[in-house]
Amino acid sequence: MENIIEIKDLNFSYRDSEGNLYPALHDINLSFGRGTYTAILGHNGSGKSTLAKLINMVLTRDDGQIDGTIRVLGKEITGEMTDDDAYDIQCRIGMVHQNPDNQIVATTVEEDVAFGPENLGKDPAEIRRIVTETLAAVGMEGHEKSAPHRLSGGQKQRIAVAGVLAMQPECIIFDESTAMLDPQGRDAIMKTIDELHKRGDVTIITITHYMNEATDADRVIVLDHGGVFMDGTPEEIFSQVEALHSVSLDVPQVTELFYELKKAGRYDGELPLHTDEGAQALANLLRIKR
Amino acid sequence: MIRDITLGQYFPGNSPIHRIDPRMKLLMTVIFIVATFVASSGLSFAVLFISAAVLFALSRISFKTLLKAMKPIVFILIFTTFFQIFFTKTGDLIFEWWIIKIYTNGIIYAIKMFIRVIVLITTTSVLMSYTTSPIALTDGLEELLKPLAKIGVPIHDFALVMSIALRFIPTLLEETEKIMAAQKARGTDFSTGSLLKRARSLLAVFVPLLASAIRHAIELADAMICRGYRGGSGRTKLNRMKMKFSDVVWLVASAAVLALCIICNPLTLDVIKGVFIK
Repeated sequence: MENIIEIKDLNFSYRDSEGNLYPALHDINLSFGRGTYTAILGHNGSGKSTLAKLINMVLTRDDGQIDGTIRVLGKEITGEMTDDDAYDIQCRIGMVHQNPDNQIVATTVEEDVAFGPENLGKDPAEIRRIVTETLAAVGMEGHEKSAPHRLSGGQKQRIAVAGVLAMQPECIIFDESTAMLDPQGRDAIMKTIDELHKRGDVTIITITHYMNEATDADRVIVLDHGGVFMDGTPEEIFSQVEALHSVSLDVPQVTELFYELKKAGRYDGELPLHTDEGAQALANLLRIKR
Repeated sequence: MIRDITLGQYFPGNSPIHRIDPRMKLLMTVIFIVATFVASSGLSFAVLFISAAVLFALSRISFKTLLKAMKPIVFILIFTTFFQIFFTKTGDLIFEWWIIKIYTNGIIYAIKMFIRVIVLITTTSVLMSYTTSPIALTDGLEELLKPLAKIGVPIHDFALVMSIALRFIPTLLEETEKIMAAQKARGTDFSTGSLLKRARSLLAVFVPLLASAIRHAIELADAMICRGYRGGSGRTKLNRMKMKFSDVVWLVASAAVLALCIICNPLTLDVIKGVFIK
């Protein structure tokens, strides 16, 4: 599988205006295959957002000291780059931020979604097609003329996702994109991410501290104190409940429940990650008891 | 809720006036402003008054709304009318009582001034504020001023700043509401006390609001860069403004009103006479 992002021996420290360095990431070696879905977990200050911002080139050498290399789409973005190359990478790696309000530029939904393609200089008919398609992809068709501030948080965030999708990126990074949403909004975004993943052409990286959101990913990376603490499938990661607790992370509630049951000697199967699996396992358990 | 307040004074609708291209509306407004100032003969005032009335009728804006627009200038209107009537000393004397003398020209000037102001307010508010959304106005202005970009005036940047400001008004209002609620919950009193005390308690709203506005700006800039923004050059538009035939008709009609006002102006008539007599 082709790797869309390759990170080798990466160390990064933020630099303040007086030149002091604050280490944020160390010894990161990671690669992301095309079309994969990875969740990056970590406690506040673990460096997960910093990593995303480096990949997306929001953070550059101007913001701190970078050692090691990051290759995105075959180009080494940590080295010397022309402005046009940097622009090209930024257009192909999309990013959805935390606060939907800070990502919406225009006063109507359709014009906001069109903002990216307009910047790329596409012609109006093509932009119209992209707007219709991306709004359908996030389930917001029919809201073309709505004013963004009249929409709910989850709807606004879906518009933000559509705005990024309209750039037709090869990779989308969701940087805590559900943190400010209510449960319905969160579900809608997770569903959108899931559908994007099923389409298979976009690489997805989600950064979150909600454990439930990591269970659908192909791969989970846990960061702690600026380093990679764990890296594996959701099943592998979430079975190590104690290790996760040691870096102040939780496991999904249903997993926690079965972990406790296991500790008490009432259960000895695999720890379920999804609520429906948990319900099934619980039903089986009760049937055996009876 | 604060956020339900309408932006500007725009009334959404689909009247013939609403549908005029915003660029045309801006030009028409300029034309009408010029026309009201050059008008001087009875005929031109009549035409101006009728065309303003037609614009108003077609816009389907209620008369009450229009009166509201007049409210701030009622005082000036009365004041100037009063001056014209009582201090003009030309024409025939038609009324005299104690020191008050009213001449025919006073009455005529007063009526003209009255029509002038009424027409000015009606056309500008009907054409611009009531029937054109702020964003359409911004876009129209950007399109009209585009030639200036060639000599290095950053028209696109101004237009973008304007439209982002418009876009963030509801967001910041919502935030003001939240901050006020939070400060109230901590015992800030916004409604009692001396003016100074109230102003000071509002400071507890403005400082966090300013901080949050700056945060919004930084994050928005990041998001815009992530979406490929690098200035106005090479940018296309989803919705291009298209001039319709009716837009041209509107412009020609307004231009005709202006032409009439110019021709009927005594100064012009003098010039014409001068030319022909020679």
